[in-house]
Amino acid sequence: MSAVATTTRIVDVIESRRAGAVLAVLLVMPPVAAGLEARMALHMLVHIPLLAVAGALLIGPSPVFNAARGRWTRRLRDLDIGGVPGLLLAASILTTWMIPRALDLAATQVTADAFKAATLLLAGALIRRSWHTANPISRAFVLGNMTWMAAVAGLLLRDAPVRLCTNYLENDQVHAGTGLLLLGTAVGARWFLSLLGPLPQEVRRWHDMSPFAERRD
Amino acid sequence: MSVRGVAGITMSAVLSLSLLGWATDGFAVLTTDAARARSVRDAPRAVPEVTVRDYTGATHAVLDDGFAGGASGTQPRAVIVDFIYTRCITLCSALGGTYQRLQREIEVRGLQDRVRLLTLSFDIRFDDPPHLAMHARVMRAQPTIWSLATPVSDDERELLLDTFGVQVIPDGRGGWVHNAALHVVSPDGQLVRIVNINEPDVALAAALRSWEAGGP
Repeated sequence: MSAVATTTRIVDVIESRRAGAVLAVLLVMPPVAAGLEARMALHMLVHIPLLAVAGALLIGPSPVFNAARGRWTRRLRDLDIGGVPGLLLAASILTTWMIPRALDLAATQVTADAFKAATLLLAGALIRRSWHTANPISRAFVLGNMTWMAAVAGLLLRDAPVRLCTNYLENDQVHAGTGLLLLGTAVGARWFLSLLGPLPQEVRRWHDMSPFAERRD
Repeated sequence: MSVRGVAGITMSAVLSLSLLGWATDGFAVLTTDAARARSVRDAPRAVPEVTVRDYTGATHAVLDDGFAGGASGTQPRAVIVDFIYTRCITLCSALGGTYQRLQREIEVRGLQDRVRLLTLSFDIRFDDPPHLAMHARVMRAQPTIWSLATPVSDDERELLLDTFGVQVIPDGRGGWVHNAALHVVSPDGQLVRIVNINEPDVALAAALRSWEAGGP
């Protein structure tokens, strides 16, 4: 790689991390947070996902993390075996912030809101980091579950006969439900499309070892 | 699998469960309403002595019972409290119906000495004594069983709503939306149970239990 290309790459990386920092700061600023948390649909479909995006930008692309040689970075890499612990924790964080009570807490208490921002930044960082190391089966499991859950949660919000959040109106709940349903379906469908084509190498290897493999003697 | 890997998965699982457990009160609730009902059942809250104005225009402490001992009993009564605003045309009218049923039940079963009903309006600007009195007439509230009142100041209104865990939000059309429930207060002024508005029988039973518990 030429010196110029390397420099460009580094600048890209810095720029993206700076963008992450700017986005994170913007999202936790009281007027912005209050504005986005005023409506349930904005809270669930804009504030929460954008915090995760900011976290993903902040951690930087995989090469940066992989090249880091610090003792702690290495330890973290060892802990996150196959990306599974990271993806599991990230999925739990996203699930937590879909719970009506958690949304109410974040919308009414400053400490809960700060906790929400911190955990979601972490979730975004984890997803970007661990997705890279995860094998296709782990990815399929986590992404399949998350998109399915978001879509089902969306359906439940749309059909709920009562308000589930004490902070939000019923029509707002329906909007959030519709958005969640669309988001879950869109992310799931997009990912499913990316699976079309030949099986990844690792999957083929496991398949060949499994009882389903055709015997080729 | 390496030792580090096992440690990583364990840490992730523990953190995940702690986080979900935090948001759900130990995997017990999903909504704020369920959480407040659970919290009150586990640890009853003392109702603060805020001042209210009733529909006769008299001011007194919120749980003061003008008719305590007026009939045969001398023991204070348990109270079932609800929150409304009289201009409300949606949930509050459902609550009104529930309260009418409760009032009838109390009358028919002769429970007037044990349980009473209290409707508190959080619309302290509009719901002055005349409006409350009109609401009481429309609801056919009997003064000895069912009283209606409004906190006298914004601070006292907030304190009351906070204690009962009632959240009032604007509905965008000049009115409000709020989490409605039946709040059971024991004769000694403790909020002991919060019951769904479609379960008045459960609320009445809880009120009677708290009255009996406070008996001689």
